[in-house]
Amino acid sequence: MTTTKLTPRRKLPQPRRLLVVLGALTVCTAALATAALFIGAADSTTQIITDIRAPRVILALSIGAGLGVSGALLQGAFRNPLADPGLVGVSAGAALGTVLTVAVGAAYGSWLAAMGGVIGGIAAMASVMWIAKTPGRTEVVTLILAGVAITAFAAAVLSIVVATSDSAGTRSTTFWTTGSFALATWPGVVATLPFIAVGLVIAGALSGKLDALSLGDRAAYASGVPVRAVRWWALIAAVLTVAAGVAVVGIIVFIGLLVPHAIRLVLGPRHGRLIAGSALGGALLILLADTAARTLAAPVELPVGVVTAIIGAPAFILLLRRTRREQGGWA
Amino acid sequence: MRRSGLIALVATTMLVAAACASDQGAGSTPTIDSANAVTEPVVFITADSLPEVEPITAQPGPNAPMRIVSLANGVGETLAALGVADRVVGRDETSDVAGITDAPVVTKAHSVSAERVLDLSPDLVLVDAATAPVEALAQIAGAGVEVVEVPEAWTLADMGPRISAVAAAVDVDPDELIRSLPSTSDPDSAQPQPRVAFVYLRGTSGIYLLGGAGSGADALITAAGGVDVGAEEDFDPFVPLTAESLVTLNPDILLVMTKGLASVNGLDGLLALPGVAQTNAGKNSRVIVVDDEVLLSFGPRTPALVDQLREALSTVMN
Repeated sequence: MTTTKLTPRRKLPQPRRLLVVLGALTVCTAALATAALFIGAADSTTQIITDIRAPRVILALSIGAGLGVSGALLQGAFRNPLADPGLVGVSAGAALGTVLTVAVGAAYGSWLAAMGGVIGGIAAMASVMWIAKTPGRTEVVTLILAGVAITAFAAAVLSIVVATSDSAGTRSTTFWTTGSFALATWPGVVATLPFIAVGLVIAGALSGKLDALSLGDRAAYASGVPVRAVRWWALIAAVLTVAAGVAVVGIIVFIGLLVPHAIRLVLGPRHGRLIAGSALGGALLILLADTAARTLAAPVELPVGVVTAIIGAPAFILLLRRTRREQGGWA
Repeated sequence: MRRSGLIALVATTMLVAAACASDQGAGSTPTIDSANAVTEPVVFITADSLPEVEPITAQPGPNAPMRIVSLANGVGETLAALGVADRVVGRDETSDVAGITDAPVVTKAHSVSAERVLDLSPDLVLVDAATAPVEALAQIAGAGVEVVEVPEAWTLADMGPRISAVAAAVDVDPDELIRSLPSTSDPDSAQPQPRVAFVYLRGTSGIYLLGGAGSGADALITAAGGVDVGAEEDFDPFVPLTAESLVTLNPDILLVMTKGLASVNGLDGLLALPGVAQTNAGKNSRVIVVDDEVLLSFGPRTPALVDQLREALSTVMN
């Protein structure tokens, strides 16, 4: 039985620290969200703000929060610091599910497309679980490799569908690998938000049980936690928080991986604060990235996934080196 | 466990409700039928609305190629006008003109399949600088097939040289065709010039591509008496534009292609896109839709297209 530690040993943070960090994140996010409503190429008329910027800001906040929480849930459920919706195949599965839905006639940004994304995400998640399952435990390395395989497979099928579909609505493959909030609309917000909200609620309800899970399956079971059920619910919530978002804005990498790590360094490993912090941190980071994507090179729109990868990849490398130094390895 | 079970029930109920709600709202298939619902000024210029291409009487020379594959943008139209439509055995997606539509399309998403071209055993393959990938063209040339690159045409002035180059490759005297090209009437400078944005749409690909200087559409818009907003800003052709920049440019009219319109679920979809909805064009739903194969072909049908475009500009503005 594995007993992977989630974080370096450090003192549990003081309650005041928790308040300060969550408060600061909330204030920063709110300030940036307000500022983002007034930054842009066009004059800040009421119409521009309500029709173009507001749905975009809300979508960025909710999808960012979803990505952060999804990473926290996956890392907790698998007791695996490398888990992330992109790495375990959920994002690619969701993209494929969406494209298949659109190829048979659904419109982008619709409930139907978001639903296709969620079903694709769940299918990918279930496949990865099935591949990585060995009696009594889920191996870390197998899980990641299964995720890589599922991602490659889903990406390949997606390319085939995009290339051969007669439905003009299927988007370019580039969109699915770099993501963009450029065409965020209110219907897109309405199609995404409920899925993310349900995912967040489940995540919050599971936080105490995920703490028990971090002791190891056997210890958690002995203390009365229904290990299998908790894990499955965590995975379902992890899919809900990202898959509908993928359907609307494409795949955004690294946020789900990075944010929970950063929050854990500051707030410690307990899942209640980790999930709250990851939601705020993810929302802040994605909003920051999207605001950069639409203003830095204006009038040219940068794909937001490019911005997150440019920031995320180096940050991830630093994290890798730091974790290796302190923990001596992953598995 | 009881608590998470309850949450599960709530979540499932919401998902089912979501799925049901979606059936009503978004289940419509992407077609341009929604055009009928819009009564505002929208003009469709279809390939069928343009006069048919009449072949000239000049005959190809005795050693003229017999099996032609046309891969250069829109050159099929020129081949038909030169009277060699029956010799076209393969074509690209843009060469869609009566007489050669029976020839199989050997490109997919603007990418040439060398194998499919060679399978047609052509003796002449016409390409231009944009035909891709060059590796496929090298394979075709390597198999001993004559590959001729004709100049691209993105302005009305480019049409003559390209027709001459195509005619030389297929060994037909082009003088009759060049003389028969109707000269387009000069734009009436007294008329106000509407600001037109050529927007390239593909499945709401996350961004707009705005046609700029050299997109081809700028030449057509100018000839038809409009101002191309992208060219005015000196943008490169097809800039991935932020929605807000489109609002700032504030075009009076949107020029789109038929397939592009279909890919955003028709006019209603187009007019709902962020950035489009807030422009003068979007607010008044002033849209001109041109069939993909005729808009940027710069062939014998282009002068008639410019005339229709001029008419369309005044129709949607009034």
